Amino acid sequence: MSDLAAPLVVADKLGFAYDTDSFELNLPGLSIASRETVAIVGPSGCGKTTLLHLIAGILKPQSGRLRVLGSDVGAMSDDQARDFRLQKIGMVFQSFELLDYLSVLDNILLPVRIGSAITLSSSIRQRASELAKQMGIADKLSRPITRLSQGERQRVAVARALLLRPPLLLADEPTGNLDPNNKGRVLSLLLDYAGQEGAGLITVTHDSTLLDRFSRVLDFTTLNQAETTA
Amino acid sequence: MRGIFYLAWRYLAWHRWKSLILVAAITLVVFLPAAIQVLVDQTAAQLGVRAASTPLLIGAKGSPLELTLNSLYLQSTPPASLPFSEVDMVRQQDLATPIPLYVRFKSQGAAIVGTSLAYFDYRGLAIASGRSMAVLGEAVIGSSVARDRSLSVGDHVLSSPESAFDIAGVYPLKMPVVGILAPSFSADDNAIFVDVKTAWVIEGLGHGHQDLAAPEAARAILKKDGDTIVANASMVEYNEITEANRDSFHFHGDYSQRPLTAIIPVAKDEKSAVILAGRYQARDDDVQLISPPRVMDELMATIFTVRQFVVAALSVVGMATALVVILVFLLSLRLRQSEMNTLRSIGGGRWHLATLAAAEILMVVVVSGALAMLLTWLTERWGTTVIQALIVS
Repeated sequence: MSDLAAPLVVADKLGFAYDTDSFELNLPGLSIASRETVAIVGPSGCGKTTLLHLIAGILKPQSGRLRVLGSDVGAMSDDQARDFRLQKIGMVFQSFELLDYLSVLDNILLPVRIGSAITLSSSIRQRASELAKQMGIADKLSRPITRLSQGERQRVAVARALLLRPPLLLADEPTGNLDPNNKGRVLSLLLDYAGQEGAGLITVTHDSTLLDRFSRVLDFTTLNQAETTA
Repeated sequence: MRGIFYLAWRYLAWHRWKSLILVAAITLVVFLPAAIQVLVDQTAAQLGVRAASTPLLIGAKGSPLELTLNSLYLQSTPPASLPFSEVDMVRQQDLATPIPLYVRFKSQGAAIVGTSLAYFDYRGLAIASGRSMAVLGEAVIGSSVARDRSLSVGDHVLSSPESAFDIAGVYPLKMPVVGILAPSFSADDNAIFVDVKTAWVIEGLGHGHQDLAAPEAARAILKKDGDTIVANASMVEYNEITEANRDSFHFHGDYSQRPLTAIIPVAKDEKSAVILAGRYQARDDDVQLISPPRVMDELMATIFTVRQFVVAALSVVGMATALVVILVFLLSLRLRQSEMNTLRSIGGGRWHLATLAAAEILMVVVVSGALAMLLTWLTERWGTTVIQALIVS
């Protein structure tokens, strides 16, 4: 079971390694309380994105325990992890990861279209339109993604992440490809959502200018106790 | 599942040229062998009908196929000729009614068929406007000739010289159109029918000229020896048979030796046909009696063999195309790895992603299959018309 009151993340002796390289992740312990907004910093390749993928259930821990929103993601089957991700987690990526062949509206609705757990209803469509309005892209709903600016694209990606009102947002360098104006705007959208909905936000970032807007900053190099890093 | 199909549809629509090329390739691979099967079957049926309605054919010895194509489909080069006396010979045996055919000349590509009125009855040809030819020089034209050349009763058709250098031989004969046939959807639609004697006039075996006994012809006479008059080139020779000059037309030489390309013997009954065939088989001169249905069966057997080779070749091409299509899909999936990772990250399961890829393939294959079926149906529906047009053209 998971709920908003449960801690966002509780990791205990969490271990993970890829088959293909020497990278290892070893977290003796990590706890992120509900409604926290956390920035994870650290050099490239230190395992920040791997941690986000473990929290999202995309990767499975090889040792230790990892509870996210009260659920043991390591014990979930692939289908359960997929449904958990779809319903509980909103993902935002540095390179937006939008589909060129879909319009703005279809990109926002993508989580509903790729899963069978949620049916596309008029209320979800209305939610997509409201989000587009909040993001300032309401007049571009039928436009192909290729005809949007970088800032507009990331706002579409944020709207997609917020569509199903997830209690946890995971953002992997969401402002990495944006100019200063758009950086601030996109981060505000994420933080505003977290504040209004009581959701948690875990962001991987390299941008030190944004750190003071988070409730906590975690330096991953001190978190990861593994001897070798990628 | 609707969402997956929607995404697949959007992907195909966005990459429309790639999708269209794939659809076109698969459609052609499916359609071409099917179309060849249909067209060959329909061609066989079309040719077979005409051959079946002409169970016997008499002609000079030579290629039975050439004789059949010339006499039934009014195509190919004229076969060797046989003498008109053969008509009398058939008639004397009292086994069949002979219909003479002299299919040698053309008028702007359309065959001029020298025959008798019995041909119209035999082929079930009806006059749509005007009347049958009644006197020397008149022509009845097929419906396609009338339509293509915008001819009506009262207009004229002109025979074409056999060769551009034939300046001393066959003169073009101008023939009035006295009747137009109703469409029969056969080779007759594109033919011009004249009496066999008119065909001989075209060949120069009969001709008409000014009366050499008249005073105005005196300058043309070179020599006079009793009834034999030798004239020079200034003598006026007619290239159109009119009421005024019709009586001047006459033939030289032995009537029984005038040429025909074939005779259709309309046997009184099956027994008479068998007897007639037996008698011709027993003859050892230059005349043969053939069975056009059998000739066409042999031709179709050859075509069917060729069809099998073509279909086999197309099947190999189809397999190669299928491999290329699979390669295109696999490369496409590889190029879309990042997209698949994104979908997986936001909640797409392995099954859903596989279904997405399968839905795209399914859509392309279904659309291609539907198009191929539609084209095959159209070929089946209109193929006969096209074949008829090809046969009469």
